Amino acid sequence: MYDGLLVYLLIGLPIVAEIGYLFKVLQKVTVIASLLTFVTALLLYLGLPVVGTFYVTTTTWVFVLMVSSIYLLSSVYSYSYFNHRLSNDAINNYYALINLFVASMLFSLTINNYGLMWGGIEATTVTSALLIMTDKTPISLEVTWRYIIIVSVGLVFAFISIILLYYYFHTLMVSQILATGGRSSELVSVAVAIALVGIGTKIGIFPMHTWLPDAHSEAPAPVSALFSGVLLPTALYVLYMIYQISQPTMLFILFATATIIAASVFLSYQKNYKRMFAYSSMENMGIALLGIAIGGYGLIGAMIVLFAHSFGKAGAFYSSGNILHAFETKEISEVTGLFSNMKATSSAILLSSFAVTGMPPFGTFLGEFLIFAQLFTMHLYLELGIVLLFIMLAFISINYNISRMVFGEGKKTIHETTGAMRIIPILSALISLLVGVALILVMT
Amino acid sequence: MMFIVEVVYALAAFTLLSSFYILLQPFIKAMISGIVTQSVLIGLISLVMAFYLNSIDFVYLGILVIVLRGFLVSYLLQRQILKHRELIRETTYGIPSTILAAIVMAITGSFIVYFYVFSSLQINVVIGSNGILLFAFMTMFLGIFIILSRKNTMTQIIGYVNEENSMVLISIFLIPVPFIVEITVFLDVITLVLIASVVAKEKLQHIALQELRG
Repeated sequence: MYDGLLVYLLIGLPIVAEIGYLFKVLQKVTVIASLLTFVTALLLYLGLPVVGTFYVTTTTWVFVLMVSSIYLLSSVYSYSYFNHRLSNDAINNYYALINLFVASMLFSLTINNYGLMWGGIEATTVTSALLIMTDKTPISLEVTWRYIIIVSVGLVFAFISIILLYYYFHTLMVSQILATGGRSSELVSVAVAIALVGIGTKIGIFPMHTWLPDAHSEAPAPVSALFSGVLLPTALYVLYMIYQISQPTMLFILFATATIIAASVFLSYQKNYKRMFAYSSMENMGIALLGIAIGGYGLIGAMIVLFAHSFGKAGAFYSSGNILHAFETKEISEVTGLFSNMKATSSAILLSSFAVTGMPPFGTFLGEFLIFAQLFTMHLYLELGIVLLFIMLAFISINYNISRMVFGEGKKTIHETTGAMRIIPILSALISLLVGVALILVMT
Repeated sequence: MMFIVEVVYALAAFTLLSSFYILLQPFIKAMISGIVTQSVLIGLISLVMAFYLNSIDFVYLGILVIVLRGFLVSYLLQRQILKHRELIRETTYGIPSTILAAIVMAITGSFIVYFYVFSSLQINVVIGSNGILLFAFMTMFLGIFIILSRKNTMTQIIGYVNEENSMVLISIFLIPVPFIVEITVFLDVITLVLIASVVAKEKLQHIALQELRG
């Protein structure tokens, strides 16, 4: 009961914070609420597992911690990011949506019901759609609509799998279904396969990924950080919970490999740095899906990749926000000489790009290593070879572009950002580095 | 009892026809009427099933579909048309080719899903034969076709509601999902329609943009 209360508190805090909307102090209240949510997430670990209305295991807790951490970082970063850019009313609306968005993600992660998990994921679409069009540019409006329609159509498709699961088990309780199991049933396998296509749309699995680069590149930086850092992993967690019922492993490996290949190819010719990081998210989700599909060390690797990636990618998008502020362009070729003008931001984007491309000793490197080790032990040499080849392509593409931006010759004098906008990107990237170093020390 | 089964089949067939009606309408008001009709038909199917199976769950579901999807959703859509005169009619091209393409997509898609996926599974519908699911699958594919073939915010959201209606139909024929889940689905649809209204206020037509390529 006590642990259940903590989960209620976890989901309730961002919602209760909405009271600040009435007094037009939502900005400050959200920062406090995000800090309290983070503390609650930490405390939740002491009472694991939680089984009842909610279903929270150690795996769930890792995702909850990711969401609450990025929520805290994005709330603080947004405080500086939107200052003098938006009216007070617009800022209030922005924070109101951020709170609902985070609450819906936490709900999807913790609820002990597949149907409501699906509802929670659909709710994340509803609450996050309007965040993309915060700037109200024609492109952001088009992107918002694409996001709504593509993801919603995909999720409607995923609802068939919920109906099939209910038909087979006569319950949608996660804890009950996982205890029963349904591995031999063809019906359950079909339900899981349909969920892969439906929820895969939200995760950005190829070929249902088309909304992802648009939404990530057009949303404001702190929203992109939430999208890439925690929304995609939240959807992946829901898919993982369904995958636990029955495992069509080869189908998952096929989609994961195709996603890695497609994302790496798209990355090789990107001209827009935000779009580049969006495709990098797609690549990392492919790697994590591969780890989940093969299980064993692969599963541990997937969790490490997702955790380290969430901070690394958040850092990358926060840094991108700083660069966009300073240069007023998203074109890679027009951003040069970052290191001579913006030392903190350039360090942050460099570290972040290392973090998201699996450079040692970042957490993503360790995670990817474990996934490859598992592929090797399963004698899946072809998959291993293909994935390694395309991950290298992605690594070169991203780091080459970022190096050009950071170390290229500066054409004009740009002023470095101050306050939270200066600290949060580098802090976020450093957390990703610390995760890797700490895990390597523990393992050795 | 045979008569009730036939009534359900007839209502399911009319549901499918309402999708074709929506697809071919250039007038958005007529499309909304189509969605109202479709939702009421699905609500009626649920009510008839309640009588057939003696289950109160179907009564709640039927009322929910008629009130929320049939009237509340259409009221929200209708309100937008009153605000934007340009939303009265959407230019459509080549009705014969649209019908042909829609029929091909709906039949092919449903055939693949039903005969290659569902027929191999141990599934029994609660009324008639498993073939009744074909009405729901065809409605689903027509909903997707409406979204693909139209470029307007309002018409695309109507296509989405049409697709969501097909899910209710599948659920009614197989097994109604728990009420709390059903409520969540309905609330999501209503919120999406509201968001569509917000987007429509700023941008009505959706076309490919150079900036979003690659």
